[in-house]
Amino acid sequence: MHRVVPYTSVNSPSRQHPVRRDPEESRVSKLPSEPQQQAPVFQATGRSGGPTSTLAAPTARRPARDPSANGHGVRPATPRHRHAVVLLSVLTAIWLAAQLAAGLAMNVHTWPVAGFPMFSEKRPVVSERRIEARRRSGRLVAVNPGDFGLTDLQFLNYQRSMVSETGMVKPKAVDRLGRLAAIWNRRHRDDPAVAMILTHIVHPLPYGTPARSPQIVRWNAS
Amino acid sequence: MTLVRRWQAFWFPAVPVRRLAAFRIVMTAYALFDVWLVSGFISRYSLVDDEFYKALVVLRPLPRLTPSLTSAVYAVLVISLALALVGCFTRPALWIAAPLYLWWWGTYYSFGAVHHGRIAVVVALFVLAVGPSGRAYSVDSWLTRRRAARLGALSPTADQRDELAGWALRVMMVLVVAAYVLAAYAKLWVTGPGWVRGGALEAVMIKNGTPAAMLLVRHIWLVYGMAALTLLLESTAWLMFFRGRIRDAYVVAVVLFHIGTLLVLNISFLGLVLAYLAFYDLEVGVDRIGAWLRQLSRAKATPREIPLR
Repeated sequence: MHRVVPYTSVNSPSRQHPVRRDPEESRVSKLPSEPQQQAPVFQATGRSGGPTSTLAAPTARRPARDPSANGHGVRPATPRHRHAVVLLSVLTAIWLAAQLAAGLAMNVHTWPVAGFPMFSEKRPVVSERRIEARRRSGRLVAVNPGDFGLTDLQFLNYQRSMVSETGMVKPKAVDRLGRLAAIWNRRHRDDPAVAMILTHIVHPLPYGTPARSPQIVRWNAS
Repeated sequence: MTLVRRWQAFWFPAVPVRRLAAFRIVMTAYALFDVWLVSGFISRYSLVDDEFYKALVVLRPLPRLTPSLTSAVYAVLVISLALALVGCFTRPALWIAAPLYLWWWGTYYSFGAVHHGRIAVVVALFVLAVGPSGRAYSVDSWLTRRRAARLGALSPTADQRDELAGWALRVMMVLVVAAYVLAAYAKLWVTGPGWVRGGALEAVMIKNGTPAAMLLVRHIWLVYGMAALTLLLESTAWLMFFRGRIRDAYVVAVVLFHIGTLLVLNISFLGLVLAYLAFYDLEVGVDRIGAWLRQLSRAKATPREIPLR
């Protein structure tokens, strides 16, 4: 036995075509006194051309509406609603200006309104770093990000404040290494570090080029 | 049309509130998953030494919290996100969740490594709190309908439209496009078109050292090709504003791009990828899924006919 499937048409200003619909789907409102909205779904999916075509401009005095809207579902604009729109307009303009400023300045410290400068710098080399601690007992141990509760990237960025990516040792690098040793020693009081060595090896790109001789920053407990 | 009207027209189109509600479900589900299952380790950062703490601008006025307070924030954040997901006290829940989510990840990023994947989620939580995101697909809307039915009053229609819903989605669209275009700008400003051969991609591939990256990095022209595609994709993100096949093609390309960054660089931008949904008529998808489920349940309920000979 064949089931009869009702066909409805969409009264859209942009396009009209028959639409196959499940009878239950068209029951948008349960109130019999209200006009039934037939297939707003298919209006919304219309692929008319042009930028953001489903989101049409509002008229001069009314709020913006979809071209497919027949006015039935649009929320009436109360004075409070209009004030909210004005306030949001101002806030949106401020956010947009701040976002553009942060983006153009490539500032990430203003997150979540930040620039996106990730991987934008030219990188002629790849560096390899390791930090080792000479303990009072004479043992040499590797110092890991986990010793400080940091991730690899966080610890790497801290090390970049001592030796740059290209191998340039920065001023106060030894002081920083000393501070690192002090923090490390707070967790290893039983056998603290008496010396800490940061070794930085530079590998020129492309991949496979032999490494340059390493840079070494050394801190010794006085 | 004056400039002000054009501005209003762009930022405040009336769209179905169901679209924003569906977007709320996706973004809060991701935020809940992100906080509950991925970022629990951040609570330990309250124990990390001040030497490593360089507070982001937004966190500078705030003191660092003790471990017990951090745990309390975590609990409140998880509960508020769960409430926002189901749409129970949606707006208050989102107003609690949005600043706490910002604080949560801002704290993590204050230790020397800022990531961009969660900007879209933070902004989404804020705009969802402002917009009428709880007016559909929520416990709140169900209660409203039930109350209206009990009082014999008119209940809100299912296809309500609201310009604040349009605003919320518009902010997300602009943010997504801006993220890519500003990333392309940074590359071109800092290094220029030579960025493609500048070694940045190669360096990060070696640094992250995934098996796929170490395999690909041996073929330098392949790396240059990937870098060129990255720059092309980022600089053409504004194509997302064009509805139809152009947008669909762009979204497919960008999703593949992010799958690539996850496999090769081990960098996830899932929050940003989910924000693409702001460009789509999500209520259509919900209707289709609903119709499919109804069809499925009907098919299961109907007993199979046995042909008679």
